[in-house]
Amino acid sequence: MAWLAWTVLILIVLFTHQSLTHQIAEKYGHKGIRIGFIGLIPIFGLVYYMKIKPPLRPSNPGKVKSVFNLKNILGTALLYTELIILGVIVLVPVVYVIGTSLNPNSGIPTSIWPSEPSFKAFQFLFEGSAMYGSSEETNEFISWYINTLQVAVLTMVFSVLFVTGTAYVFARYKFKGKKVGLLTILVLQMFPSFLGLIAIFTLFQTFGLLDQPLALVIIYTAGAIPFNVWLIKGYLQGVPKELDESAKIDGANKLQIFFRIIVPLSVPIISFVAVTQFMAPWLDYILPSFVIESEEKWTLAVGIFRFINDQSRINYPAFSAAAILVAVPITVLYVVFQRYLIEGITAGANKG
Amino acid sequence: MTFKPLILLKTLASSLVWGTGQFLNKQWLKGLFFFSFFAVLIGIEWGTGSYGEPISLYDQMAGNPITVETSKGYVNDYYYNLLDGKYEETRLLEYVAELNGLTYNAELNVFADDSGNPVQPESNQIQFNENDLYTFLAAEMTRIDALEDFSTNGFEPLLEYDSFEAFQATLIGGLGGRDNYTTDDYNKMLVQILFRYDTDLFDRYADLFTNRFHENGGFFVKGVWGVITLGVTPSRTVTEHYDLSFFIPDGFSRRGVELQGNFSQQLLLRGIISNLLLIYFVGIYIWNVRDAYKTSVLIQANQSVRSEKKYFQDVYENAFEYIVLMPALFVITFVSVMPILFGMLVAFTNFDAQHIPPNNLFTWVGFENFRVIFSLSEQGGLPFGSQFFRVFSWTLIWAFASTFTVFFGGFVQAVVLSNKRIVFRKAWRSLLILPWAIPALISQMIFNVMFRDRGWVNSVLERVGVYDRLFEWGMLGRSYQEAGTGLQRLLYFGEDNIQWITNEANPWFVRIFIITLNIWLGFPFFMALMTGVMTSIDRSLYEAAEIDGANGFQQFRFITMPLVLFATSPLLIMTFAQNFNNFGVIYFITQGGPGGDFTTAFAGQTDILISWIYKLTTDANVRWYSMASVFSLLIFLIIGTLSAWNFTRTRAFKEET
Repeated sequence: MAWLAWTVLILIVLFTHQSLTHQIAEKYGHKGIRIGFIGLIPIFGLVYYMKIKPPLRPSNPGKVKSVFNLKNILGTALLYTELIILGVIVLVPVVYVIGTSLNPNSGIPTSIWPSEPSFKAFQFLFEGSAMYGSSEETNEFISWYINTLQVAVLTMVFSVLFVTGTAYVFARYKFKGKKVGLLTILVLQMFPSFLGLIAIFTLFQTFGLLDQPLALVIIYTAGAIPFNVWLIKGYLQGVPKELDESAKIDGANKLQIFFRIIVPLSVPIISFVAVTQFMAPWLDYILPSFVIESEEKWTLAVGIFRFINDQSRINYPAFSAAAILVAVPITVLYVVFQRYLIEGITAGANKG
Repeated sequence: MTFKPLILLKTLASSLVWGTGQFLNKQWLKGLFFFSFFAVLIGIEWGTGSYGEPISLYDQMAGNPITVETSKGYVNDYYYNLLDGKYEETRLLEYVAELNGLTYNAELNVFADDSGNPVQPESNQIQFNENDLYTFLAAEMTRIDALEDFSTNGFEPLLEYDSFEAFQATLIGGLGGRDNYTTDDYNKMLVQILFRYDTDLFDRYADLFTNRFHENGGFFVKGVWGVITLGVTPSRTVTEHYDLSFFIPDGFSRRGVELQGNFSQQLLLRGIISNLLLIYFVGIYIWNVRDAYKTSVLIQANQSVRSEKKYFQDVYENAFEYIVLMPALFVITFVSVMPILFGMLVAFTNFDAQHIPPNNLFTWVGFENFRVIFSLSEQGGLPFGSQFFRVFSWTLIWAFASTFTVFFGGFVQAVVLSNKRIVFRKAWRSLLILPWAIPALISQMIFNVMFRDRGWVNSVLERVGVYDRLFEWGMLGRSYQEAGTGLQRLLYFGEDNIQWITNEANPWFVRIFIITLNIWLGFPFFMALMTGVMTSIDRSLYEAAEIDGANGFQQFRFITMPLVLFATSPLLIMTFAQNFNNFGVIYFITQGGPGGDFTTAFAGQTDILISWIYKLTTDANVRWYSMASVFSLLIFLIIGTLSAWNFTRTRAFKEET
């Protein structure tokens, strides 16, 4: 563990140095990302901007010196200490799960990184079976993946179809019952989904839909309507109404206005809805765990949880490997689109 | 005015048979339009029902009846055994002859028709089906003094009755023998014989299991009946036929014959669906009647009536909104509203482990479940009342604490990130946002693995010597009873290991741990949100402040903080609502534990309402649906009210008014 403490310390010094370099360089009028990288080179970075590189604008020596006063240095170091420690805390579970996935034994690992890393867990997932000790273990990862993918794609398509038209009507037209409708939709999404669980189970039972992953699409699609209608409606209200009106004068009917004007203009928000709806089935556990019985028909969330929860198939590396395979694409999407996603989430609360 | 009766007539016509009023108005297309809905309504009811068909009690039993071939074979066997002198009694053959309009000559052992021609037993002129067989055997049984003799004295002395012996022989060796029949079939056969013998018994069962509404009713009639009654007949197993088990060939055994009862939950569900669908039809019905009335009035007044084509065009133009909304409305009604209605209704029933249809029906109990909770009572031996308030208080504490910590954790981190001294801000932000970007479900499961008693975190703490310190300080190594008092008990970590998620003796340790862990999961969202707000604050505000001589802290205190908190506070209520129902953190990390058996009505120490509901609903050993529904309803009342109130204050809503 001592190595970790040393690493943290070195990083604190390194980044403090970077920050000081940056502060100096800014005082001399330099700009851009380059400063940051040069600042990462110990000592040289500071010297480079103070002595080697000519200042772009003359700076008051007192101001430059103020960078080096103890309060500033300590303050910077303190900031970076906080950031780096937090960064470590954030990364520990990530590193742990990667380490675990490379573990060749199915037990719970006690070190963060295995002494003999292997891709056995991934192989186990893709090939469907592997020997652990003297017993052969099997899984249906590929089926789970395909099931989930199917559900996700269909949910995405149907949600978009249902949501867009509904939102258009709510955003553009005044009609009897509109307000009641909007409030109902809002109230509906406040209900805990469990309230409907027994009913959905009985419903599936009555119509022979139990144990069929595709039946989940119906529930997900219906569940997506309330929130996303609000979201798209809010967006459409920002699209100027004059566009509709001029099209109307040109003789377009309501459907044409919708397809020729509204849909092309709301591509960004529609893609947002599509992406979030596509992701939802990957992460839902409650519903599929309740209505899907056979192992080969599970979705990923159910299958993954069984790797750590079901005594007969405990396999921590397989759990980690599967978790990584599911989480990586979603995490990347989230990091890349963080701005839009956060705006989307807050839109529901702020603008409506 | 003089023609008013005609208007009334047309309206009445439409209100009885949809569309006829329109026909009388000579609006054929419109009439057809409404009539088709009427036809669909009646068609559904008729098509799904079985009106006019007789109800057979036996249809509801498992097992196949004895076939005609077997019955006929039985007659043949009997006939030839009689010829061979094995049997003496001829009653069966006399009975068969009478059934087929023949005569049986006992001395010559032949069947003869009216004109005296002999008839072979195998011929088509002799028919004998399974019902005749049952009736005959039942009639034979009346010859035995008391039925109880079968069971008390055994069947051996009774085997002198040729008919039973012959019957057994036929079933075993003859036509349609052993291979064709299962234990269920034989038992069903016995029941059929018994019921013909003991008609009182038959009537008693028939009363219970041949309910006209349940068996004949179509989609709508059965639906309405189902919601009102929730079923009337639980499953029954007929065992009275055990007395006759000597009929069954060797190798098979007697077994209860199940008569399947009503499934209350399916009746309730179908009832809700059909009632919801009825509402749609009622809407069209009202439209139909009103249209018939209005058009008739126009015609009477000799005013011009819109052409039907124009009418439908206008309908399309005016109802465009409704037509577009229809599919979504339909899906929402049946997939969102219907289950919610179902759940709400279940809260007013006794649908629990002791009332699982079809063996035990559940019924309406009014506000009984609510009374149990608010009078702190028990139900079925489970202390739901007291546990509800324990879980509810923890849910509130959890929701407040987790919202507060996450909000301010995010705020502090946003302030740190926005410090001018930070280089590569975007990279740092992307790193720190990871916990938000990683699917929560996955990270929660990872935490569950990391913080197990013998998990990685504990093994690290043991290796670096933290365990030694804890043993020294008495936070580990003792049982809870020995752990002392007050603060020492509060800081009780566990006995052999730090029990992050399983510390049953000191649940507050687990609870505080969960709240802390939740910061990891929740702070990045607020951090990202607030850094966004901070960068959008108008720079000139700070410049103005600087000119006025405000220092950095003052700028933060009087510009940044109020603006950020103001912009993000509406999200507090949303986050509170989310945390109130934050199933994932509780279920995937602690599974609601530690604890949670019947002494606490299955509520663990960290269970919040929603995870308790999940257990009550999904655990096959618990299944206390009624209480789960009551809790869901209470959650909805709290969260729904809060959200609706929050929402009515937003700009979006005010714009609508």
